[in-house]
Amino acid sequence: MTFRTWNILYYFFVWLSGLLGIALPLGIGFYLLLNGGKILNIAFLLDRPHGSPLGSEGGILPAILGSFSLTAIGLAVALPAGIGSAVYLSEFSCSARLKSFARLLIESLAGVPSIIYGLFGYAFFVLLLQMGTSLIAGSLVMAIVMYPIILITSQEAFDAVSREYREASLSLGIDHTEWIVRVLFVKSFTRILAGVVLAVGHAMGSAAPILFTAAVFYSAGGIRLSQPVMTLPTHLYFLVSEGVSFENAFGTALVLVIGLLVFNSLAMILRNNIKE
Amino acid sequence: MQLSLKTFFGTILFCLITVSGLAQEAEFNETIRVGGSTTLLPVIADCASQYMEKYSTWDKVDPSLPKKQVLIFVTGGGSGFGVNSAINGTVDIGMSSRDLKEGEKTKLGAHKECLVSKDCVAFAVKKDNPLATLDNLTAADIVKIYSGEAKTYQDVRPNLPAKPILILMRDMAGGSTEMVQQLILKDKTFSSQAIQVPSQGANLKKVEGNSSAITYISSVLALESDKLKVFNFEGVEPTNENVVNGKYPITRPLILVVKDKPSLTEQKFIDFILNEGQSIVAEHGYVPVKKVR
Amino acid sequence: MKWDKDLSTRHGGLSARDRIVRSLCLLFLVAGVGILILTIVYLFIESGPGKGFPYRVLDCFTGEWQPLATPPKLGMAHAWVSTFMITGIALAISLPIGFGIGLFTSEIAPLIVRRLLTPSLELLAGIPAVVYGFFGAVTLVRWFEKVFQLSTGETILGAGIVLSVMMLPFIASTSAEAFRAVFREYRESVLSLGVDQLTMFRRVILVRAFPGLIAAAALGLARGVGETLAVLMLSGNTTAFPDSILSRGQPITALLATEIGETAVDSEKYHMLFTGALCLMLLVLLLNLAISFLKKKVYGTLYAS
Repeated sequence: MTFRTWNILYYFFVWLSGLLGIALPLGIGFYLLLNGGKILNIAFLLDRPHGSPLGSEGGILPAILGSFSLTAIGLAVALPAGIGSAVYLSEFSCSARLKSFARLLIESLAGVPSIIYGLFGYAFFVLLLQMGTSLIAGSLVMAIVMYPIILITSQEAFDAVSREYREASLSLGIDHTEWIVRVLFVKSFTRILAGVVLAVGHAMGSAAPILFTAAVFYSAGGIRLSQPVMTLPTHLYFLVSEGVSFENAFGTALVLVIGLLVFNSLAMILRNNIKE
Repeated sequence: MQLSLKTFFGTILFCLITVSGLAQEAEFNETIRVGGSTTLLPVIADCASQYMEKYSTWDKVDPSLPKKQVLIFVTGGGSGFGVNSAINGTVDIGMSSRDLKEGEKTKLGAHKECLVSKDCVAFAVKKDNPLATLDNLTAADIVKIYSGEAKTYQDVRPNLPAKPILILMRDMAGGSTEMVQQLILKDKTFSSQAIQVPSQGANLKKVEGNSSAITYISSVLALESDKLKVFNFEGVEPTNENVVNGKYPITRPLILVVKDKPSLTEQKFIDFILNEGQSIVAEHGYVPVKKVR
Repeated sequence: MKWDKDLSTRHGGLSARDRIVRSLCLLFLVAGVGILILTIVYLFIESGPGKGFPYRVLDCFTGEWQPLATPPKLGMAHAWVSTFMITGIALAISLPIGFGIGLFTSEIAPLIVRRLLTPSLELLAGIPAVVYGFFGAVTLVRWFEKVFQLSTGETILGAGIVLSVMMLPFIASTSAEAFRAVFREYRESVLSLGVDQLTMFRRVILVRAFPGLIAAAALGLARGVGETLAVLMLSGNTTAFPDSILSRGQPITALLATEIGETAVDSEKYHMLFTGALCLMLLVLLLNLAISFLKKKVYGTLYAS
């Protein structure tokens, strides 16, 4: 019966999509592993770029350091801001309208392409505030990118803390701050951390916002707020667009993907360990 | 895993302390930022790398300077970017592979230009490109090709196969683009079908890998490659001799631009490039500045 | 909650410490939202508001891009067309497959397969755009040159295919959410009527989940138009108007990234680039607002649980 054939086709299509969803990332992962694994060794991770043209030999240590410090400083700004804002929206705001409005605004702004924030960062931080292409300018742009994500996940985490805790704590007569610090944060900690890890993963992989605000083609590795840095995604972009070295590009891509994989796995483990 | 609140806040505190520890601002600026022309990029990046290895701190360069680490950052972006960034202060030293425009000179105000070398813009194709049978291209040929008038190689010379031409050009920030526009295309514009490449390095890789492509590229890069056929332009070979004696029509200065007066550290680095660094310049294939001054 | 409100509006309700903390948190909120709004405002300022602004916006969408001509032509029509062509191709590929995966995860997959699929999709979502661009450059571009006999493999089609892979996890998860919610509500009652899977899907699930699916599509669209690095490396930087999916193009994000470095501040080109950026940002904002409202229709609340 054609009826049954249609059902078979339906199942077939859905199963096919599902298997594609598994095969595709595994395929990409293996391809990167195969080609990048050749170049990956301790020297690659700990050396500066060398060779002529620069980057065709040696390692990517300055890029690793740069990516790390950029994200760390961005997080140092975005984390308190994001969590603090979420605390206000979830605990102190009186009007539900304000809460929905703010949430709507932040969610919309979370989807803005990162290059737009990069352009803003270039015009505002680098040029207007004369910060120059520097770690601080790039970190501030990173913070802007991470802030909405942290806010939204924190707020969802706070809302997920069940009412009983809220009512029990307040009925004991403790004030809001005590309740927030001693109970709310503790209970929502793993969810918040998972959200933070996701924000960090997203920010570390993005090259567009830092191309004009913090990145250089070559740096010896020093990390100072007023100096530009090399980062993993921009280094990969330069290696490819300048046609420097495809092997090193594979290596850089592999380091980046493995690093992000570790972050995302952390997020998943944390989420699975959530205690109610 | 029960993580205590103390650990959480401790981590935050640690991050903040690290941040403030990193924020050591000195009045003496030990960094030099260089950016711009992708032609000069490999040379200056090499100079910077060797300079930093030779002198690890500024007091070794000159005893009057403090004992701070020598830090030089080099980036590409094209001559347009280099000059623009020198104007707005994003870089300390801008690299340019063309002369400054009048408007740029006005915006810069007082400035210093240092000639590092000269090279010329050569036209090249891959060795198995149909055009490779020719040895010479005229200005008329180039205009026909780059304005998009000639769609296939047959339109350039009737005896060539009708293979579509893939035009490569440096993007608008490139010094070579400005030169080709001003000196050859003049009133006409680049064909919109042209692919813009972001740097000379990418330019080289692209034309080496594609049999339908034609490009204009730094002569040194073109001549070094064994996969390319480099054309004479208007009968003149794009060699370093013809750069020095000025016979090749599209020669350009490779210059460093500094706004106002270079600081002592910048001047020292520039002196290095113009003296000991000239061996690095020559290694990369460019004409040492003594010959072209 | 009502008692919340009572507690904080009564004078004795909040301790001094609470008031300080509240002000601090409010400060963070205002600062954060303020900076985000500053972004829009500053983009607007840098696009040069004034008499020329409406004409510039019109020109942005309709004119040619020839900055070296005299007088320079600064329209970005080719860029908008490229953007929508690439995103269109990407959606055409990733929507059906994404919905399929969404269906699979929410209803049809056995638990073990579901456990495999979720991390795989997260891996896909976690790979940065640069890596996708790089991946496409070493595989698709070279492959296209051989198969289609093109002079160069960078095409709108190639960029669209890679973009579809990037969009896939987001569309899959958003549609899975929508399907899951609807299945939960209707599965028992529909199946107990003796209806088969496909009819249930067609007549009930699809209809009810439709707003959620539109939201997924809008999400994909928003991500697609905003993607920069991958399309920059794969679509071939040309200023020409793309005439087929195998031609080269230059999406608006690639145009912005390429030209911003060398543009002098306050020049005509600078204003035009920021006008383009502003339009792109507003477009994405509108799309995201639409997504939020659509999600509200499916779940009843403004944010999914």
